[in-house]
Amino acid sequence: MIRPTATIARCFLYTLLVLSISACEDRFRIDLSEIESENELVVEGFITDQEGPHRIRLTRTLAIGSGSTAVPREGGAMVQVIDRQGNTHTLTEIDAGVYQTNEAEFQAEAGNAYQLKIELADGEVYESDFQELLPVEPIDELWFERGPEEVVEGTFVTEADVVKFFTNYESQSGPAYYRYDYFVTYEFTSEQQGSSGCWQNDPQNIPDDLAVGITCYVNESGRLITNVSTYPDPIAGDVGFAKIFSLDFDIRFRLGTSVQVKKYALTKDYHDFLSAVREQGEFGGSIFDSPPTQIVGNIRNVNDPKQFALGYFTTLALTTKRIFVPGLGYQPPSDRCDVVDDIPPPKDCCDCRQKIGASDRRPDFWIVGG
Amino acid sequence: MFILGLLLTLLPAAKAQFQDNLNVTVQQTNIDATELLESLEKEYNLNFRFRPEWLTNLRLSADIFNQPLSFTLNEIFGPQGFSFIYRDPSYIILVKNGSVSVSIKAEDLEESEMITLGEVDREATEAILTGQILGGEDELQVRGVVVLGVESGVSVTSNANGRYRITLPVGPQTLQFKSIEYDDLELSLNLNSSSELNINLYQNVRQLNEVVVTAEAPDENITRTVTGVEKLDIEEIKKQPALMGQTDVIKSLTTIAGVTTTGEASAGFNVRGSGTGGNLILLDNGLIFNPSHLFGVFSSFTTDAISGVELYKGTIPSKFGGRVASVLDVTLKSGDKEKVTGNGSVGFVASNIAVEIPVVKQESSLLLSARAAYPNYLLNAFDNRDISESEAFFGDFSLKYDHRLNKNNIITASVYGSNNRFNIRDEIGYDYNNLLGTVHWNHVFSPDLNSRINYSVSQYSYTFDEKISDDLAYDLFSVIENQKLDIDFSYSGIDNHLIDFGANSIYHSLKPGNFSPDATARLVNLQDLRQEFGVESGLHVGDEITINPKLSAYVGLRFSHFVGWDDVLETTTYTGLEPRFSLNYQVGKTGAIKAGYNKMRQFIHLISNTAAITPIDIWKLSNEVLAPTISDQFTLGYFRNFADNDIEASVEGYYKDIQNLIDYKNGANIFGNPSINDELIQGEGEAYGVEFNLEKKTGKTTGRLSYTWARTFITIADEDGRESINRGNAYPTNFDQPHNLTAQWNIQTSRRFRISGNFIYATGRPITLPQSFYQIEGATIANYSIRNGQRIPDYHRLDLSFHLASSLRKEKNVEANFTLTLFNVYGRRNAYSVFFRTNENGRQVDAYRLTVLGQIIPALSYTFKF
Repeated sequence: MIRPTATIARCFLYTLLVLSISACEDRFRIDLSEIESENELVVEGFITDQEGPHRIRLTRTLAIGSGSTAVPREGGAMVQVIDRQGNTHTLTEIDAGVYQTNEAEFQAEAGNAYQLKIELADGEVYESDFQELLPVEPIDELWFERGPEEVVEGTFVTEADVVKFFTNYESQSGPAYYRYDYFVTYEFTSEQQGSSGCWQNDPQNIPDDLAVGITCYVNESGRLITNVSTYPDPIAGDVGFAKIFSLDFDIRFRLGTSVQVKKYALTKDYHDFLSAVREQGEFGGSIFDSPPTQIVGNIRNVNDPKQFALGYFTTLALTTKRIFVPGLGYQPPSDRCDVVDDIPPPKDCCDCRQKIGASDRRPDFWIVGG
Repeated sequence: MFILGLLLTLLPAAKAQFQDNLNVTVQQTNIDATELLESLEKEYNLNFRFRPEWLTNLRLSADIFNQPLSFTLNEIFGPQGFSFIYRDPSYIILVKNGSVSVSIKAEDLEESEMITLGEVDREATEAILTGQILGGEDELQVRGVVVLGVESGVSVTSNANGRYRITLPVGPQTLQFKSIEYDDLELSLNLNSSSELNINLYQNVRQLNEVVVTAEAPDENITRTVTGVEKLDIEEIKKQPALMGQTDVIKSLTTIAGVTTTGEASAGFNVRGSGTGGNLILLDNGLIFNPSHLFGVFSSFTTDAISGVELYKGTIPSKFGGRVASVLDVTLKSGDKEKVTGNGSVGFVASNIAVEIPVVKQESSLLLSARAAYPNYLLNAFDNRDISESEAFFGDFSLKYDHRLNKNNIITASVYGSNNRFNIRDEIGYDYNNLLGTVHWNHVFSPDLNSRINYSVSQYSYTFDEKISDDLAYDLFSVIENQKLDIDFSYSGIDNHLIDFGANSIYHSLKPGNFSPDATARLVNLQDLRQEFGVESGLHVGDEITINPKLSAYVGLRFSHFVGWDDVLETTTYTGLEPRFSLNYQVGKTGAIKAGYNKMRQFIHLISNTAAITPIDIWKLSNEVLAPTISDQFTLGYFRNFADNDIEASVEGYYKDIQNLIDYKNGANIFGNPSINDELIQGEGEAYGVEFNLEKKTGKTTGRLSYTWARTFITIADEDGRESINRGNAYPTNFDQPHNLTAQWNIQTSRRFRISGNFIYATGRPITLPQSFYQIEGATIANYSIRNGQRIPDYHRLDLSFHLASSLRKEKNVEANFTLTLFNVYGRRNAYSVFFRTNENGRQVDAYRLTVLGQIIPALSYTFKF
């Protein structure tokens, strides 16, 4: 199944029609408070073949017009994971609505299948179907390539400078479904390392060990929940390799970068669920777009089997591999760390350790000298 | 001399008292008839009018004492073949028995002449007049001529053989023959008994300041038996303001109550709550699948090449079948057989020309019509590279050859094609085409029996190509081919019946999607979609019955048969009977109550999970999992004319029950999908509404105001619940627009200047918006839990056009008009759709509105006629 990149075509097409370049799409205010909604149960979380603990979070939907983004949490439920043999493990609520496995008692294994059972405080009982923990093929090779890539932003298509990551795969008989995430660690130095200029309005808070000439390593995790792929690729075919994700060419690619690629094996059903989530995000409302629909998961109300909870419960096998990208020479905007009109620059201009996620301790996996 | 014809126009209604209150005595032997009448004139102060030559050498005898005048005159003159017309206060017109069969050439008819038909029958109050109407120049049978008894208000329309049959009161009256193509004819008639009257009509010699020619009898609104038929007058369509000056048949349909579109960029039209795929669109009896250019912005029929447009939305005659919502029957014009004529228009984005050429004078003619759009010079002028490197084209052509072999055989052949092409930055290309060829043979067996055989081949195809990267591209090609054969007979040999019967059959071959070979070689997972085949056949019979002057009925029955197959699925057969029925009861002379029932089956479905026809939609035949859609419609209406038929008013309600209506499953993906069956689900549909219509037909100001209240719902519930939509509750379909108001008007301010306008208001169509949102792993997901639960903002738009005609001198060879059109006068940014998109940080959901044609669009066009 392929999908035309109609999004790209859309605006141009209308422009042709009206022979003018006025915007064909605009933000628009509608009275959301009139839309009625029920607070439906939302289940998020999965268990992997790793040690754990694994977490399941129960929340409720929030009315679209509520003006809030904090979804209500569903506490006080009994949450259990049941395997194919009937072994039941009960999760512990560690925070409102957050339920966690006990790593000493529970370890999921490839080949087995697991089911989630939820008994809410009000007595409603929900059950997922059984999800098989599929084994995951280890990542064989990884490589990268810097170059331009077309990105759709609303109805505009822009070209972005990115670093694309690729992997190879073995040709297989049937399609296999994967999701990729990453964990990036990159080398970072501050332009004015050791200078106290960033604290000129706040001298009493200058760190006492403001060292000159140190190097930091910044950790950043990327959760690309809808970054799913199918092998062979539905468009490119069984070419033996695939792009797994692209990272914007930015500060991460100045001195050197270590990217840990995480690969999860998905059931087809979960892959379809995540694809639906992704498509919804791309929906553009044009004559080429299917109207959006509800994304139906795999968790049913036991008392009323025609009713589903939102979200999905699944099992994932995980494998990782690291790739080192030597410095690609990204140049940050030159005036970023200048002092202009007595306004001090961001603190990470004077001390790399002030950057979020940064540490001056070189990680064990770092390859010295690239 | 006595000028009888002129007298008749003063027809009074008081003859009864005059003839019955006067008793006379006549006792004469062998007296000259003229003398006898003169003596009566003197004695009783009467006044006879007669042609003296009738009475020459006629000698009479009588012995009548004190008897009523009418009795007396009939006693004396009746045996001689005379009858009398009594006029208040004292005129008595003597008329001679007419022949029971008369043929008249409109050319030769003198204004004053009165035609007497049939023998005097004192008992009769009604008589049936039958006859055939032929073109004076070419002896072609003329269909669609309205025959109207002016005083009695009865009217009928001539059938395809040019035959008509009308029941009229006995006595003197005025009879009118009205048609679009021919000059109107008015006759003074004295009808004594059932007779035959054959008429030759002559072509209109139209001048600029022409008389308005109406396609319908003034009171057709109330006299037509079949309910829910709309005839569009091409001249009226041309008056309506149209986007960029391109007159548009499809957009004109939407001024009719019950016909809507879902927005500007929607190809096709929706009739009484059904999807666009529910309309059977016929051009000279051939199938058309996409009636639009540019995704529905323009209609793909050039108005100058069309002679008639009929839309059936209520009781659909049994000769039509295969779609559940309506039939749009479009007829290409036959060329002029006398002289070369033509017309056309020049506009900013497109121009068209139509030329009519006689091949053999009075025998055969050719119509050639073409339209082409040239938007590229405008596109190239843009600074924006994306636009200037794009290309667009649309165009269409028609060709019709009309040959009258002899009085009983006419053959026509037509070819039609349309093409649309877009290329966006060399990356995305669309190309779609309609191609149609038809041959039609009209044969007359006898004045009462005639046959029409029509064979057509049509093709609708599209190519969609996309360049994925510099060295990777694919083409998706889809084609639908059809062969259609219709054999129809009509028989008018039984009094008060007009019988139609026949058979038709369509062979469908559908290639829903084939990828280019180089793409399939490189892109392994591209699979060609399975080819489908089907044969759709029908046997039909129908009878339009005049039960009495007040009550008429149409009764029809169609037997539908479908067999479909493809490479994998078993051959599937579906059959069924489709009764069609309608009743017209006239209330007084200006009102009528009409009721109807209609059953329709549809075996070929437009599969679209978008709101409108797009060029890449898929047509799919019924198969073992996709059952035919079946619709049952009930209608009831009251029709009333006012101000001497100048104002027509009607209110009509309908209820439709639809089985196996198709909708898509949650998350369905149609494009290039080899297993579409799995993406579709069928449910129960329901549609109902009330349509109000008010129309002013003549005068300096004409127009139409219609309001429709209508709802349409679908229910989809499955056993498991996973595929139920809205938990199995009924929900509005994509076309549910409860309130719809349209106004259309023309004001002729002077002989040369006219202002036309239309205004449209419709409730926004339903749309699926999220009720709530939720988070999964930090991503915000909108929850579209209720399909079609909200609506886009209401739609309204005003268009105006100003027409300036060239001078009125008759001797001018070329007639020219300028039209300035203002589309969307107040620049309403009507939403095409409203949608939600998670914003960049993934934490918030924002509403967006997509607008098509959101500003005023002026256009100037020049039309000419020679």
